Amino acid sequence: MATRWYAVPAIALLLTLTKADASQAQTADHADFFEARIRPVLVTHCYECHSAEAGQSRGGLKLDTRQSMLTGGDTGPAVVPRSLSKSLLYESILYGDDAYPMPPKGKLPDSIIADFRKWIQIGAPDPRTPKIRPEVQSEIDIEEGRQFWAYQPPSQPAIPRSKNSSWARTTIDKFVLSDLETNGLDPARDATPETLVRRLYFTLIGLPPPPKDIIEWANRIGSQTDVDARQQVISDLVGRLLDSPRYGERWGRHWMDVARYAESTGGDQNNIYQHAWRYRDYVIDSFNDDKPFDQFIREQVAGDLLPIADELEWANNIIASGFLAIGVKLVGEEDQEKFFADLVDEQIDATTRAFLATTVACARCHDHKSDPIPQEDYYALAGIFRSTATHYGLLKAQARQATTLLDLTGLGPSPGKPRLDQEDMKLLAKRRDDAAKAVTDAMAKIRSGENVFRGTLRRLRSQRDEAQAALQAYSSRGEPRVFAMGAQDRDDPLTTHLLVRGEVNKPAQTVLRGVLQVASPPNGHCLPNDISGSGRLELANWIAREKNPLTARVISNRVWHWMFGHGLVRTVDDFGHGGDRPTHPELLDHLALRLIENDWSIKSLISEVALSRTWQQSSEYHESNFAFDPDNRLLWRMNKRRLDGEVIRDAMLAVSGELDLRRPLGTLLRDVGEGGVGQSVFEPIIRSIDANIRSVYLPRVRSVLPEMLEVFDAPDASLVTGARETTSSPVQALFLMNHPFVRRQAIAMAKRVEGVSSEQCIDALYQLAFGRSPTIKETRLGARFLAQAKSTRSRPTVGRLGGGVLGGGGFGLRGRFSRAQLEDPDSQPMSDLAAYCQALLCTMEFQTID
Amino acid sequence: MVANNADRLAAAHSQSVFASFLGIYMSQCRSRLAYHTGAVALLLLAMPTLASGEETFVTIQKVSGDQMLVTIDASGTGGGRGRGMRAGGALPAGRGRGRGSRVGTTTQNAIAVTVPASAKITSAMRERRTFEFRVLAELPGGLRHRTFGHMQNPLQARVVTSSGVITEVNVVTGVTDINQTSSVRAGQIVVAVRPKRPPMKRIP
Repeated sequence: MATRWYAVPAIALLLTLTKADASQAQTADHADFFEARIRPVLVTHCYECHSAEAGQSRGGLKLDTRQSMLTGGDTGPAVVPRSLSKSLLYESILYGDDAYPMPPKGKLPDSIIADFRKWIQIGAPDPRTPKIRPEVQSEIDIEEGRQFWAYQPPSQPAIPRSKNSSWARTTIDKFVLSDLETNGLDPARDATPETLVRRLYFTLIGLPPPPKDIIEWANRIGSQTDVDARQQVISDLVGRLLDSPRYGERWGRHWMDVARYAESTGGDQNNIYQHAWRYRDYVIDSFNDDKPFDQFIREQVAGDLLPIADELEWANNIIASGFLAIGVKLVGEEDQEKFFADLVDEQIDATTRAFLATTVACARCHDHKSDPIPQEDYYALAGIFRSTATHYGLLKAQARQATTLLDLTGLGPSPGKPRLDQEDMKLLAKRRDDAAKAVTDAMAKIRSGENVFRGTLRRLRSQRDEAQAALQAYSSRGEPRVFAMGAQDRDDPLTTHLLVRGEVNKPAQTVLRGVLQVASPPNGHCLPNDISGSGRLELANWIAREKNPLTARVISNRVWHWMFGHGLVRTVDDFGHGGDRPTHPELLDHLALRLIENDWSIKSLISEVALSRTWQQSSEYHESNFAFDPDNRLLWRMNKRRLDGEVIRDAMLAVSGELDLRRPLGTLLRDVGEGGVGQSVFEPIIRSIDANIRSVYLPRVRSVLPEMLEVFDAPDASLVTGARETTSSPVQALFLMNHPFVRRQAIAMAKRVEGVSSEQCIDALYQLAFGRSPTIKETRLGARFLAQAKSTRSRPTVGRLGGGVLGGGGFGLRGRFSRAQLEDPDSQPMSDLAAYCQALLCTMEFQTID
Repeated sequence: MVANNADRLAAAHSQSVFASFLGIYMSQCRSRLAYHTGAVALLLLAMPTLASGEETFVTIQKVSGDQMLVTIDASGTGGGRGRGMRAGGALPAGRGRGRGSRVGTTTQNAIAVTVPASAKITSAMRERRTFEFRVLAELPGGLRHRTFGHMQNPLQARVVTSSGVITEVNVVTGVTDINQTSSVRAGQIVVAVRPKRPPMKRIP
């Protein structure tokens, strides 16, 4: 009996399950009915005017989703399940008198109307699920893209054999000579020892050689009859220059162009990054220490995540991650989401251009137009940077999109400024309290109905925050705190969607974090799901791995560019289809593999290039070679090139004996306080900054460069700049002829050779300025000038070459070169010798290396 | 299921106008136990659906897992004090316009909604001068973000739906930067934060 009672619920359960199964089957049938009989009719006859895809919703009605059908249009729900009388859609297709006859082109066949009737009666089943996010599909064939030269892993090329086997001294020469012979060109002669010494000094340390060094090294090189012995002397000189701290300042400056290093945000506000200098010093020290380049990459992309041995290493690694923080930012942007998207975009652009010479940022809005980089790859990288917190500082009252800095106090780095005594601290505290009170008073006025100008209130708030920040820069005992720009991982990664046309409010499918498909093995581009951080460390390791087809090639090409003036791939920041092809692909691979072999040592690579006969060629003209290869792509001679603005300035200071080689503590912008250009520091002050330190330590404010650097084409640091422009303009000549800085150096240079005969004096000046003795003609011309100047000393224009032009018709007296700026309050009438020195500094020979 | 959440929000929004519907489901929501056990997710209401891109201002009372217990802001333009002349739109009877009109609901009217994993959770703010609602940066971790874990007081938010699905929740959290760091602490601006410590190198 009991057993029978137990059976009842079991049977009931069985019946229920059976019923559920039947119900599921019925649902599937209904869905099939809709798909087979209803949806095709809707698509054919209705979607044209009532669907999101068509962009039409006549009468406010859409029929492409279940929701919109049930909601209906202006006249009510289009379909009410199981109610034919309330379903306006059904009324319409019946062509009834009280409804809009639909479709307007003609009544549907009766069989279709019967299908609609049945569909509504069974409850209007509709399996369509709304697609809230579109799926953007790429049409790029990645596999085909991998066939492009830049995405093929570098392979060890066979060393070519050449007819003139005695010419080549290194493997580099063999590659170059092979191409020259193939094209019937002859290499140029070796450069003279003096030229070579001057070239080495300028190229490796960015300074002219002192006359005694030129004589010494030129003699040593010239006196060697044996090739190996000659090479050994050159190698000694190269080693000595690479060991000099000046090397890091010169080559660090190269990298800072690539890393778009600057000490301000750029844009309209152009707020000062007071702590960017730490990254500058990190770069200089890294080059001086010959840090392996793969490690250099890891530290800049993910330094904050790398394992550490001690606190100082931790601090330095964080400072290195400042690479991600020093870019251009429109910090006045109101829309934080857009600002963040732009920040990530800038980081992607800088990282991929600097290390991979690939323009990934072009894929923000669509698939890359020329390279095999789908939009999805951009957002895979964006996922990594979106999961990263970027700390660049600034104050909220001055910049809407300010962030915090990273506090490295106690971790080891120098504070960069002296400690304050209690009196100074009290002053700072008083300044803060006064500024806070001023805001409180202004707010009280507003509350009492008094009018306070909005700009005034903004200024008061800015001053209050500035005073607070100034005080917070010290501990309560007056010890300066150590702040730095840098990156950190967020607590949790952010989900990233591909954005249609790059618009933040048009998300499409979710994209997993990853790296570029084309430079990864098939299906190996996504980061594993179980990574704990942002993925930056994985990205850094991916970039810095030996198998990455781009990284070693890109930096080898950069080094070649900095040595020769042109890269083997001339578009040093673009190895894609839009860029140039390598002129010597095998040589590029050879250099890349040698770099990896030598533990990514940049100094080794430089040394290898400097010791090649290709690099030691003269820059002499050869008619038939020039006719065949005017751009010197095949390297039949050395490229004669103009020095960078920084080097010209440093060279002037060096030859005048005024160069201060000490590294300044912190930055010159440190003392101006928080704020933007025009607020805490003014444009003319930066432009005409007066300091005798090396140019690499001058303030680097975006759009407001020191005049001399700007005139001589220093980049603005808005973008990665692997290759500087070299322009030639009258402004450069006018600058050299008129600027007080140049005149001061000329006066100081003249003082170095005072008290000797004019011939000796001219010889000494030529050695200083050009690293050579003057020709007989040059000596005669110089002596004649000095003699004539004596006789016409009363002429007022001697002190300013070209002054007649500037002073005459008013041309050039407006704007930056106005008379007010040209007038140097400390200037005294220049001596004849100083005028002669200035003339030497104005020559092209002084500005060029050959 | 997800669509139903949006329906419920939409329904709740409608009820600020058609208060008669309120009783149908609020009685079910009052059971906090049901909320905590996730049983509230069974709440199904067949209410008129939303048009595309609809926004609803709510106050988040509690967050648990992927669910939020929210009350609908009756004004439909977001709560908050002193919106001044910017309140705009039709207000329910009995609600004053202009400064000082206090808007808000109690947890008694709360409904539970499930937020889909794909929804974007961001911080937001009301602009100090214009009271404009401004969306800020995305909150890492979504509803797992510390903002919800350490909730002391209800949070005002805007829920955006598209085709009946919650696509975005913008939570008013106070002024934060893109890194979700507060710019002010104890009346003082925050200049710098300590970095997170990385692992130590292994000594071989």
